Amino acid sequence: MDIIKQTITIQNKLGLHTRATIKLVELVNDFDAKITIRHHDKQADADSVLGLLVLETCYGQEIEIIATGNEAQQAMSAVTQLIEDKFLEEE
Amino acid sequence: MKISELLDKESVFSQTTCTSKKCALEKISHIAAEKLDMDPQQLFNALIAREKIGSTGVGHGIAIPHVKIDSSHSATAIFMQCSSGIDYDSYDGNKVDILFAIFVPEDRCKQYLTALSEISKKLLDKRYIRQIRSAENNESLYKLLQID
Repeated sequence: MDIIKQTITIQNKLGLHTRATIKLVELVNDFDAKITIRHHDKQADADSVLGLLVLETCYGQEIEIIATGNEAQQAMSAVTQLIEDKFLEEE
Repeated sequence: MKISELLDKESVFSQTTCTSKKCALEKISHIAAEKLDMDPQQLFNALIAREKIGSTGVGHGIAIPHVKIDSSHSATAIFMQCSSGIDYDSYDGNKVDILFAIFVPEDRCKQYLTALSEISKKLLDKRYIRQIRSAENNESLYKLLQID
């Protein structure tokens, strides 16, 4: 099974806070893919809000996204787009 | 920021009777208002306004309602375990019976993320969650929450 990896910078002011993580989890659930997020020495499955909150990711910090599964590429594109769109937050 | 720094014995409530999300947030607002010396209605309005943007239910029966408060106040939290689940519009559709409400000064965003990370780490532990849900009184729940 292919593994796709991409590093991206968190661009919304509040970082991976509650609302952003819920959006991410809801998005990932739409795909037949497993997404893992790595930040420093921690990692979490992107289908768990609590798991993502443990990462404590702030504005300007880099995360690594790891995608596997039948729709790994589509899931990766959607996740990176959401992050680039600042989770649809104003700042 | 450790959870133990945000919670004191008077901030932890087990087996609380809550009939709705509104009821739970009203109770939390009154307790927090006393601790922060603020208007409970103002806190309640802020909590409700935040919920309107999107539910703070994080799944598995847990919610983390939160609001930013004026920088002149210290960060504080209220932990409330309800005797039965309430409708909370959580993304996973589950009813909520554990609420960890956080009130953090608006200039301390990093502290807020750290507190979220700390409590989330604890709440991911299913055995720990079972212990929280079966705590018989406030004191035993408080002791559980002091474990680092």
